[in-house]
Amino acid sequence: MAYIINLAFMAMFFVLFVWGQRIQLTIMLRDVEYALSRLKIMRDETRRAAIENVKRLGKSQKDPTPYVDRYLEYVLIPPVPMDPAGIVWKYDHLLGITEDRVKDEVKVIAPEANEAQQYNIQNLLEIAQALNTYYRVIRHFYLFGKKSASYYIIIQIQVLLPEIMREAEALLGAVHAFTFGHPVGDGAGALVAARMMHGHEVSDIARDTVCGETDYEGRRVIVIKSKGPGGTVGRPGDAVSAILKRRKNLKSVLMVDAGLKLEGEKSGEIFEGIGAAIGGIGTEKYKIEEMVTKRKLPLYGVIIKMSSQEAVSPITKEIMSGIEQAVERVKELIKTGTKVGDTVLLVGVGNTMGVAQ
Amino acid sequence: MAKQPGSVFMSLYFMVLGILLVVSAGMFFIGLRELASEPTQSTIYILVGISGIAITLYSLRQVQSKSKGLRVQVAKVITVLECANCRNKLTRNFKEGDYIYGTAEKCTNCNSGTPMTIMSIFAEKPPSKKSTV
Repeated sequence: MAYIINLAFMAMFFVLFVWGQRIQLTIMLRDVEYALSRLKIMRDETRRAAIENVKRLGKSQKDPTPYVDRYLEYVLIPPVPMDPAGIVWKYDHLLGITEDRVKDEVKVIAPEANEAQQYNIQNLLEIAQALNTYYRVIRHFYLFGKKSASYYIIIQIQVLLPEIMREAEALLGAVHAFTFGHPVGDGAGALVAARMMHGHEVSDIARDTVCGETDYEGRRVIVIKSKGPGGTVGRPGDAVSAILKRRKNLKSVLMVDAGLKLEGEKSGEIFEGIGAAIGGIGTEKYKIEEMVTKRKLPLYGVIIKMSSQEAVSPITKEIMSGIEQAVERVKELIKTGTKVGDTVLLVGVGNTMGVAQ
Repeated sequence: MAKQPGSVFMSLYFMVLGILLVVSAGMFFIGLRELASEPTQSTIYILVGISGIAITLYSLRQVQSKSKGLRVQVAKVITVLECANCRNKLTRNFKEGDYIYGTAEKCTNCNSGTPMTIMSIFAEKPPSKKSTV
């Protein structure tokens, strides 16, 4: 028996010495393959949900499947970064074209859907597109790594897999919310703005963005939010620019947005910062920073913490409580940071699905 | 493209795990039997046997957790309505078309015929697990 075991140990040593890395590569490829099969299921499930939703709400005679499939492969070709001066405006222009095109096409495939539903369909299509991109990129690395038997190609994707899978699962979880139009965690900033402007007259200020005015403790508060209840983030940068050009008496700019919490932090907690509290590709942030810097106005941010999953899922009780706290904090900041008779600009940032004004 | 679990690899994987389990269990029992006569060698057998069994069980658990399929968390969403006339609050399940600051059914408390305003919409309970795939 001892002889057999010694022989087995020697054989194992030899196998691990010669094919150790190969065995490790096979195990890693297996992990990537498993993640890939999950991503494929997620992508197909989201695609199916998008098609069903378009059919259910749009009631079009035309089959939306070819359009949805085409949309999954849409890409925004980024402008050349060799000469970065002016790249923000190029991005801004391209994003506008993309929005217009998708909006027009959704109108064609879902003619019976109302405006809010059309925005929600757009959001669903964006989720399906994002999952399709994840799937295609992981598949590329998987096949390339398998073909080249390169440990280093596979290890790169394996390191990123947990984060990618978490994002993908969050997106899959969002399908239900976007199908039925639930307010999502990302809309926390928009809801804070809505709480401040509700009951007052509102007007369009920029694309998919509205503005209203209210008084608080003798201060004039101009409130900006994306136009609800359809799922859109609007153009807060354009709205802030428009307001700052018109109103010369502003004393400060306050922004409220949802922010990603770190592991171990509680959802719904609020924190504050100095600067533009806004995410996205960066064009809107740039516009706000430009205008505020030109006018030398103080810029404050109030952020409501949540996970990436909560940002795209229906607002939870904890986040709702964070929103109410943020409303109170905003009021406090207005009261302590300005004098009676001053004018303040409040910007509620985020996807306003399920939140009117 | 990507092979689904249950392919040739899986059969091979389970075969290797089976062999490992049998060999480990064998070593464990041999170690126990010979413990009195050859304590040093038997201790090594027992430790290797336990390690083998632990690795096999851990691997089986990993496979089991992976084969559970995709689970999507679907939350129970609640709509809170308020009557502008009598300030009566009503809580009910979310209906498609509800949105915050939208109007909903008429208030039954004051019978004023005023449609209630939706003040809040949120996921009430921790999301329950629902398998979609």
